Amino acid sequence: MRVVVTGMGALSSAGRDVCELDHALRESRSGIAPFGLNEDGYPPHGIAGRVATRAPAGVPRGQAMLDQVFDEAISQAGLEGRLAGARLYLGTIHGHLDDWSAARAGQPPDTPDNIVALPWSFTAQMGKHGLRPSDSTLISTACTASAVAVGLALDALRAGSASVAVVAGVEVMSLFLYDGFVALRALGKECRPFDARHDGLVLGEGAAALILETESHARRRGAHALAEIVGYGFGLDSSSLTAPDPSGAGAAAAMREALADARLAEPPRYVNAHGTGTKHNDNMECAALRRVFGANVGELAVSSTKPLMGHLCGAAGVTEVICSILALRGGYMPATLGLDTPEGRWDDIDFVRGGPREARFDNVLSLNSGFGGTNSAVVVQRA
Amino acid sequence: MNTTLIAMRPVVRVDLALADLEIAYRDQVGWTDAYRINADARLVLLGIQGLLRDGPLEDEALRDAAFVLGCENPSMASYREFDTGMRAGRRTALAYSHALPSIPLASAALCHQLRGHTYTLVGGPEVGLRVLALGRHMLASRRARHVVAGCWCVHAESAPTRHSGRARIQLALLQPVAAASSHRYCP
Repeated sequence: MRVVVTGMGALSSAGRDVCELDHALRESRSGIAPFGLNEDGYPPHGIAGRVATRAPAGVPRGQAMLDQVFDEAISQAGLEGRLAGARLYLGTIHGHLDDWSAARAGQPPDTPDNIVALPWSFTAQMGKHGLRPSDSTLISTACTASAVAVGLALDALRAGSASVAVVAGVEVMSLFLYDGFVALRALGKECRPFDARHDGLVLGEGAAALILETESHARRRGAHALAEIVGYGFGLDSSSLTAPDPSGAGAAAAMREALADARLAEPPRYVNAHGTGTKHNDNMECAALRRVFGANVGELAVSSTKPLMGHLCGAAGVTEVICSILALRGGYMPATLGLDTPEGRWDDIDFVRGGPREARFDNVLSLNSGFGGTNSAVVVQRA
Repeated sequence: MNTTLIAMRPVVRVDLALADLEIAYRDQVGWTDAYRINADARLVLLGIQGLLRDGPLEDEALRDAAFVLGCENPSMASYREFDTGMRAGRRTALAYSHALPSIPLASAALCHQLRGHTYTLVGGPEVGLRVLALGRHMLASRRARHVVAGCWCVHAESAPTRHSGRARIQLALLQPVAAASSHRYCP
């Protein structure tokens, strides 16, 4: 059973909606900026990709971000008020951690958990979009979370469990998140994936949503298919809780499964890489690409869109699938901003740099990896 | 709708006082890395040890199985530890790297060298139903031949020692009816 995308919504520092994100990709324009002064706890010289969303009183900021991208995606799909029976697959790492941490700030350190709101209380808020808690699956597999959400929705629709699925990801910037990556010494001065001077990642925040439908359901109601999701794969490193397997075996397993699932007529020409800008990730990902494509790896064009918005963590997967769809439909391959001189050891890989590359291609492989050794791959195809 | 018939066999049920979890973990698992992680990880590892001991799958089949585990409030001890340290000006890398919902299952993947899909679901009381639904989809879509599905909860009742409270995990094995009947148990 074919599964198509009929709606998209995106919010990140690269754009307040999908149209703005498309412009940012075409213009290689980044939304990453310094925190500046008067930011409680954040270093003024530190950088991140943040959004201006302010939540109404009593609404978690992450929920406000989700509401915005849900509205955009549902509107584009023409499904306002017609989501009864739809499934929700939502990926996030820390959920409403910002609210949880803020609530704890006013309490003694030994305050029992049930005194403050817990970070993963999402589903009750979904009723306003017509989605039931009993139809909502909240996935937390580190930075692959929302890419996994795409894959699980794909399988559910193929299995006939529903005709429509809303797939989303969200991650909110918080001092907890920022300080966590400071503690891990994972932050870089700039985001420069695959560059010889890459020194770490830059965090971002945002949300993204996709409406997936069975092709027959979309056709019956006259909906326009933006793209088709044709493959998904998952692979485990099982080598370390905090560092990727340098051999790339887990990411390669995810790619192989996704490509086998997709049954493409020809290999993908463009790869939207996880590309965080940490040495560990970039090395692992290039090793994985070589494992899968061997001597043909040079025929792939590879780029990372994280320098435009920062690493959106649990929201990265869906956001980057949307970037892949925009590239596919727009006939361009986004450039990796900040990539001036690729590391010499990867000279067989064709990184898109210096500006977007005009090209017509029919499918994209979108990759993500996360803490704990999770790796995911999603194959998107022209509808 | 795909009509694959699924057999579900409850295999593991652990319900311990938190203090007893530590004793059981030491006696039955003892993988030292988990002492630095959190009680959630030790509980999940203890549950999987029980699965190996009492379940129908051999080691190799278990490594290829998919794992879908759900929890309402995962890794809260690590969240509290990092949050409290941060306010005191201490940023502890280990505490942060363990303050993720997926770390307990990732610990099990590392300890047992798992190769299948491993998914951590979070949410309210409905999470158990979502775990079962996802397990069924994984079998129907042939992503796995066996799915270990379950939920865990580490609930610390008293502060600041947090040694009183309960640790609970339940695991079930899901597999297509045809595969289930070929094992030594018959549903």
